[in-house]
Amino acid sequence: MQVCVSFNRSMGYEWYRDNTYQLTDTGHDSNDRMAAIERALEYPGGEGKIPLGIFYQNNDTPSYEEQVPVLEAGPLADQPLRKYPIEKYRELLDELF
Amino acid sequence: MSTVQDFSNDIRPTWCPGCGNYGIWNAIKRALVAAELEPRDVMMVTGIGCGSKMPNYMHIPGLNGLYGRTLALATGYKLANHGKKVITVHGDGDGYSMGGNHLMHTVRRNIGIVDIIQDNHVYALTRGQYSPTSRSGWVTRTSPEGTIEKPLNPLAMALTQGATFVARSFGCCRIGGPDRQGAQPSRLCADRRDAGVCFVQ
Amino acid sequence: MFKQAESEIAAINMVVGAANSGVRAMTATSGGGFDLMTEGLSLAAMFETPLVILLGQRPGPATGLPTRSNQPDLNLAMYAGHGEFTRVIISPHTVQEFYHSAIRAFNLADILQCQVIVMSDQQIASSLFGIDMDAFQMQDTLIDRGKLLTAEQVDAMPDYKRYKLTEDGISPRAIAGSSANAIFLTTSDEHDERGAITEGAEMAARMADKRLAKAKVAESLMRPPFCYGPEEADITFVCWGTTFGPVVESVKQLETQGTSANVVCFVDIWPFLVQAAQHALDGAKRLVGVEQNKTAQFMHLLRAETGIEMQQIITKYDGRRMTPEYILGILEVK
Repeated sequence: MQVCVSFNRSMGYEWYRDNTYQLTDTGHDSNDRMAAIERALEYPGGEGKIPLGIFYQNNDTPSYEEQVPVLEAGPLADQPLRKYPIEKYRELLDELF
Repeated sequence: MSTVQDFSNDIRPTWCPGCGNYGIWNAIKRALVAAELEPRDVMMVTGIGCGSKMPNYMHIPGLNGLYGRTLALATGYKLANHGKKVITVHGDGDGYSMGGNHLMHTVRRNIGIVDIIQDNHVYALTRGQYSPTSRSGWVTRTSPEGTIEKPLNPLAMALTQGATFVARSFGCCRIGGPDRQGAQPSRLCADRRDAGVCFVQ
Repeated sequence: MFKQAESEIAAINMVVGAANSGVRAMTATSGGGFDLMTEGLSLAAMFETPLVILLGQRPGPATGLPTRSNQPDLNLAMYAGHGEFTRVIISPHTVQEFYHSAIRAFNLADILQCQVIVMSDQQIASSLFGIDMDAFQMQDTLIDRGKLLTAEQVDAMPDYKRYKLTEDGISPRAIAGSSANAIFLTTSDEHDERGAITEGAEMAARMADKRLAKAKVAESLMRPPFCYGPEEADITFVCWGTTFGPVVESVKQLETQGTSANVVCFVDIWPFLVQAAQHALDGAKRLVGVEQNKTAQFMHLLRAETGIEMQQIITKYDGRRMTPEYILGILEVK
C-alpha cells in the first residue's frame, strides 16, 4: 500500500503509522492458509489495524509454466522455430493420414 | 553483481514530491540487486497509472501496456520466456477495476509473476476518484455524497483463489525502519523458489 | 505452445506479451471476440509488435447467428483499433491458400513489424475438404523474420535504438533483454527512438509518420487479385475470400449454358493495390460483385480506391452459404 499525497490526504504517512501493525510481531504462521484468510479479513472489513507482512506462502505448488511439457526444453523464446528436421513433421502427418 | 545504479537511468519521475511510488521504486531496485539480477534478467510489465510509468524511470526491459491488461501482457511474456524474472507493477485501478478478472486468473493459474499492486485507495492519475479499495462513505469528485460501495478485499480474494504467496507491504521508509521497508520485496525476489505467483498489495 | 485465455482481451494481450519475447504469436477469434481485441490491436501497433490474428466471420450484430457464416466484418478489420497505423488484411479463398497464408502472414508481420489479420469465415472453418497432400510442401516453408536482430548483432550495437527512425518506417528489432545493449521500454505511450515516453510534438508526428510509412513496404509485398476463367468474357464476377468457391461453380454452369464468364478474386485486401485492381478489371464487359454481407463492403472499398463500379451486386446475408443456384437465380445477363 502507499500514500497519495495529492488526492488521498486523509490516508497520509501518519495515518498508516497509526493504523498498521506487522504480522511478524504477532506470531502469525504464514504457512497456515486459514489463518492467513482470517488476517486478510481484518482489512477491509474489520475494526482494528491493518496487518502488514507475509500472510501466506506455499512453495510446494507447481507453477503453471512448470507443468507445460513444451517448456521443459527451456524458454520458448530460446527454442528454434524449426525444432525438428522436416522429416519428423512428415512422419507426424503420415501418422495422421 | 549488479548495483542500484545499474537499474537507474537519468529520466526524472513526474510523481509528486512525497509520493509513495518513490519508496516502492527504490525497494524494487534494492530487491533486484539483492537477488543478484542484472537488468537483462528482468521484465517489468506495467499498465496505466502514475506508478505504471516506473519502467520509464529505470534501466530495465519494460512493457508498459494498456490500462488493466498488465497481468495478461505479463502472462504472455512469462509463458514465452519463463527464464526471466517478470515483475508487474500497477495500481488499484489497473489491478482491481479494469484488471480484476486477470488478477483472479493469474492467481489461480500460479504463473511465475511477482505482482506488486501500488494500492493508494484512489485514482490518482485522473486526479482523485474513488477506487475499488476506497472506504465506504469517502467523498470524491465522483462521489460527492460519499461512495456507497463496499471496498474490495484483494488479499482475501487472492487467498481464496489459491495464491501461493500473499503479502501486504507499505511502500514508504517511515514505517518499520530501514530494515523492514526493503525486506519484503527482497524476500520475494531472492529467497523464494522462483515458481508461482507472488501477490503483494 | 497453446494457451486458452480467460477472455479475448486477455488473449490479445497475452500474444502481444509473448511476441515481445521474440517468439511468433497469434490468436484466433470471431466477430464479438475481435471487438474485444481491438484495443490490444492498437497496443500492438504502438509497440510495433508482429502479430497474426485470425478473424472467422459470422453474422452479427452481437451474438447474431453464432454457428453460421457470413462476410460482414471487412469494415471491422479495416478500421478496428483507435489511432492510425499500418495493418495487413488477407482473406484466403481455399483451404490450401489458408495454409500458405498462415506462413505468409507470420512473415509479413515480422517484416513489417505490424499486425496481420487473416480473414476466414465459419463456413470454411467448419468444412471438410479432400486435398492432395502435395499441396503442403513443408520443406519449402520460408521463414523470414525481417529486421529481427540476434543477440550477437545487438551486442555490437552500443547505441541501439528500438524505434530508430528509418526511411521505410521499419527499425532493426532487438528483443528487450537479449543483450546488455537492448535494455529498453516498450510503451503504449508515444515514445522516442529509444522507447522512452515523450510528449514532444515533433517526435509524435515523426513516430506517426513512421508507423504509416510501413504501408508503402506492405504494398510492395501485396499480391494482385487473381483471375479464373477465360481472359475475355461477357460477365466478370468480382469477389473476395471464400465466396470464390460458389462463384467458380457459377462460371462453370454459365459455360454449359453458353455464357462466358470469369472471376477476379481478391485475397490480399489491405493495403489495397489500386493499379493492380484497375488492371485486373480493365476492359471487363459486365462487372458483377458477389459477397456475403448486406452492404457490399468490399465493393465499396473497391469503388473508393479505384472508382470502379459494379453493374450488379449480389449479396447474401442470411447466414446460409452462398451457392451457384442463388447467384444464377438473380444474375442479370444482358
